[in-house]
Amino acid sequence: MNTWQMKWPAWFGLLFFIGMMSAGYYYNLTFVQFGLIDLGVRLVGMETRQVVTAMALLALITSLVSVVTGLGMMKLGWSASFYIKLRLAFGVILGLTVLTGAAPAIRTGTGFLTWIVLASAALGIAVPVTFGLTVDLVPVRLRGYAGAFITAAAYFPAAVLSPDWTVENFASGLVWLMAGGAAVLGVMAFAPLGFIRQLAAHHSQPSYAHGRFIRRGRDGTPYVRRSLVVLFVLMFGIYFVDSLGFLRLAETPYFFEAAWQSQELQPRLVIGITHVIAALVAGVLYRALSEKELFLWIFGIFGLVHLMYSLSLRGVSASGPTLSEPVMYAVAVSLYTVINFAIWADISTPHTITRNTALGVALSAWTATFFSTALALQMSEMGIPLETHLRIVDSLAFLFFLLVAGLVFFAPLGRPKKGIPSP
Amino acid sequence: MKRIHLLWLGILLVSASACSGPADQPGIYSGTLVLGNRHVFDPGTVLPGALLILEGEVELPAETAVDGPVFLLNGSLLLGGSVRGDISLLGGQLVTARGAVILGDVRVGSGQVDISPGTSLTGEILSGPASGLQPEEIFPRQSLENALMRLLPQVLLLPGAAFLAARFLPRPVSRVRRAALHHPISAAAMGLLAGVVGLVFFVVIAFTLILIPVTMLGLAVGFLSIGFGWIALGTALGDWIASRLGRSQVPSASALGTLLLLVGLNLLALLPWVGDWIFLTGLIVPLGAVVLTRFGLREYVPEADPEDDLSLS
Repeated sequence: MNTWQMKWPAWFGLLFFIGMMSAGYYYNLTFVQFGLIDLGVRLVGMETRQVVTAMALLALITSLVSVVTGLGMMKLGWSASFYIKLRLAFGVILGLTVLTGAAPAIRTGTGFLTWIVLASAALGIAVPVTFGLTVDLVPVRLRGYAGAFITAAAYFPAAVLSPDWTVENFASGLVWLMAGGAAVLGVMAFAPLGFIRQLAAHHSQPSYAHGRFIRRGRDGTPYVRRSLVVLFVLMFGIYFVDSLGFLRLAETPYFFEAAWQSQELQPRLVIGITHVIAALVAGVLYRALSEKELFLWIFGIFGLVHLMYSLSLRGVSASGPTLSEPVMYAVAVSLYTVINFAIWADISTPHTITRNTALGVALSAWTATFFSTALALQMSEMGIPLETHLRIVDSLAFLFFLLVAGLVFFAPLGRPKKGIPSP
Repeated sequence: MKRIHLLWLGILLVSASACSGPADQPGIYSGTLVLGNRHVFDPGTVLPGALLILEGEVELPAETAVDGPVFLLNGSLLLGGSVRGDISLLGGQLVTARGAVILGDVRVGSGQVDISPGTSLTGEILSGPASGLQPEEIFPRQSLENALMRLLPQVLLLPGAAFLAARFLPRPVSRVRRAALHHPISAAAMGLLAGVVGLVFFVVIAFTLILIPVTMLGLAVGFLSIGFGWIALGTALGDWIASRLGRSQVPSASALGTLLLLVGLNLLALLPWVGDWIFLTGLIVPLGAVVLTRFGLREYVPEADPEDDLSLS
């Protein structure tokens, strides 16, 4: 049976997953990434450095809670339970809705830090729980496309609809969205609906259960190749390079106010449309290319973007801010975001998905964010100018590019060798 | 060493040797490019070659000179010195001070010009169609005449190349053809990514001036890739026609198919609304197929689908 013959509950599950994940990622891109900085600096009166340190703390706690939750769920056998994941997701979204609604009322540093700790705990649980639903709701063959739609649906509104980056603006829009999402999750998690029972059985079907990179041994035991451990390093590298560069660019009104925070709609619209097109391209290429070839493109584009920014600062290229840099940035970000939404489930079985997504998302995304934030602060403290900062990021991207190029050309994939058991 | 490694090595060597020339012979790529900010040149400065202003403010006071033409796309130029060539405006603002010298015409396609009475202008101020800078002249609209002009070099070169490729490189051509015809969406996605990123990359490195040869090489490789892709698709079309006519699939069929493909693609490009998109598709699909197969050096085989059971029994 092909994709077009999927029955409506399967389509509902797929669309629900895309909606849930895109809303979650939109929340992360807007409220967590910029709303909290506005809250800390403008409403609480903290220094930018203190707020950024608190954001690094958020990344660290999220990472730790995520790993503990993912491993714990796997040990307890909850990883394959659709209903437990749904109920946990319901609790987490409910908690985050309350926290988001309360955030604009915070006026003290202690309140801000308490909010950070509670929110990071909720986000940490959310990572393995929501990503873990992939094996129940997204067929393996559609994971690249699902990642593409999630990325497009999250980045387009984040780029186009958010000129006013205040915590009140973000919270007022998101609370209703999250409350609606929590209500749907509550119904799905607790109401005895027949089609939900059908969705709960998906993970026992091969078309959902065994990710693209899962192989089977002679005795039928599923495993993933040892070489895929390099995925964690590469995703860490991508997030690190992206975050290290973007943190500094976000502090540079010269670039930022001409692009992501432009008062005019057109630049933001161009960036948003680029995100959508690049996400769709990535969705197709996710199955068309090996993951290392995709990483090669991503690091290459990141290297190119930071080269463009540093040339711009040096006056060699466009000295005035142009849209070419943020547009290429959007291409790179969309490519890796699509991969991030698809790849952890594709190295997992229903029993290992919470552990693998927790390790993957926590160790690559959140830990990289923590380290890059700390490093960016340190570099700023040392008085390293923007141009040098971008050149360092560019060098890192180029280094990773060369590393992946070596892997692509001299250790091609497609040769199943020794693997790590994936029970 | 595999052929692909040799190919990369060759490209690197050619690039390196191409780059070494200009570094030893300063002046070959002389010119000034201004893309932003305010730049005031000191008296006595002589800018070699053309001055291209894309954005920003440029002030050339008395006793400065531009040893070539000036192109103003946006931004502003305050001229008090001399320009040894034409000044062409596609936008922005040109203001001359008393004593400024222009040894050529001032061509105004768009933008504002304020020539002070004390300016010495050898040529004329040309605006409108006489300037040769009207948008339709720079970016000509699609017309049968333009399509034929674009088609001419293609039909002169590619059918012959298709004949040779089908005769001497049948396997690479077949691999590209299979990638384009059996996986058109993957090829289109790959072609779009490679085309956009490649173009931006080569334009960016051209700003360094020293790497302009690499840019030219890269663009040549890009055109070669699209041409090779067209040959592969033309071969498929030629073979199909030959089989319908009960003839054998010979290199001449590839040449004929490529010719028909190019004529058809250029004619379809004339269609209103959809013509440009059809032509763009005709560029990115073959380009993507060539990239996916690495110039036909490998067979493109996508990942196998997982066990195909999406039922909800």
